[in-house]
Order: sequence, then C-alpha cells, then structure tokens
Amino acid sequence: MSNKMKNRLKVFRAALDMTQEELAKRAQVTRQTIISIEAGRYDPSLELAFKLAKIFSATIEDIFSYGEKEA
Amino acid sequence: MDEELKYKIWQIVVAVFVAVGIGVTIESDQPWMAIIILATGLLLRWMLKARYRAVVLVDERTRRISEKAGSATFWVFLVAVALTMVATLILGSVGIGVTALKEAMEPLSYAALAIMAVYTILVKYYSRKM
Repeated sequence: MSNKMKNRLKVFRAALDMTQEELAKRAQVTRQTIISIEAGRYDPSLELAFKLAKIFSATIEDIFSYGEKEA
Repeated sequence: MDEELKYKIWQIVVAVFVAVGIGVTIESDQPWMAIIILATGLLLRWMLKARYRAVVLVDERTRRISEKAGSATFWVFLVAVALTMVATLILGSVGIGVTALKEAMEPLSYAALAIMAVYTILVKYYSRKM
C-alpha cells in the first residue's frame, strides 16, 4: 500500500477560469510545475501549497488531500 | 513569441557564441581572447537575466529535479570508479597488466575519495542546519 497526495487544483483553476500559465505566474513557478501538480506527478512544498491556497482563497485541505492508494 | 521562449532562444545564442568563440580562439592559440569571450558570455547572461527578470525558469520543482539528478550522478560516478578499480586490480593479480587503465584510474580513485569526503562533510553540515 502506498500513500498518495491528491489535489483539486484543476477544479479550482477552472472555477476561476484561469489558465495554467496565469496560475504559474501568480504562484511564481513554471507552467510545467502546475502541469505536474495537476497530473499528480509532483507534490508541492508546504510553501507552494500555501501560496496556491491563498491564490484561490481556500485552505490547503480544500485543495490537497492525503489519501491511501493500493500499490 | 512569449517571453520564456525568447529568453531560452537568447540563452542558446549566447551559449553557442561562447562555445564556438572559445573553441576557435583556443584552436588559434589565443587564450586571452578565450577569457574575453567567456567574460562577455557571462556578462550577456547576466544582462539577459536582468532583462527577463519576470520569467520564472527555476522553481522548487526544477531544483528538486536537479538535486535528484546530481545525487544519482554522484552515485553512478562512485560505483563506476569503484567497479573499474576493482576490475583493474583483479586483472593485475591474474597477470593481465592494464597499465594505461591503472594509470588513468589512480587519480580518478583519489578524486572519488575526495568527493565522498566532501559529500560526507556536507551531509553532516546540512543535517545540523535542518
């Protein structure tokens, strides 16, 4: 069994009609980082998670969740 | 054309300029020109960074990738040097002298040891800091 972070970044971004490029600029990261987070390939640092939560006026728990996934 | 692409193209242009320039000047036996070209390249890079300050090219993900790649390279280098050194010693013990390889491996082995020592010191240092 392996633990895996899940996120709803794409949902939040879509709700604000924001492009990956725009979000990347606001979070001061590369667009590739946003793509990787949305695809679940990269878990952001706590600092970036806070930044993203602030951009969407949400809490980290609203965007990110820590689930367990069968290996 | 977006700013990121422009920045990347300019970076490649500067890199090619420096590489070709240094190659040509060294080939024509003008080491001072090579130094001037290198300094010009560094200056151009600095100017580019200042001009495209808003373009984010390095972030925590790229840094993490770099750390992982660096660490993997470090271990691949150490293991490769160790295995080649062991192979050289075994070949030497059974009477197959690979003198050229042994001569090449000696400084490499010392370099590997020095790198390992630096790595150990840095691990201890960062362990205390974090």
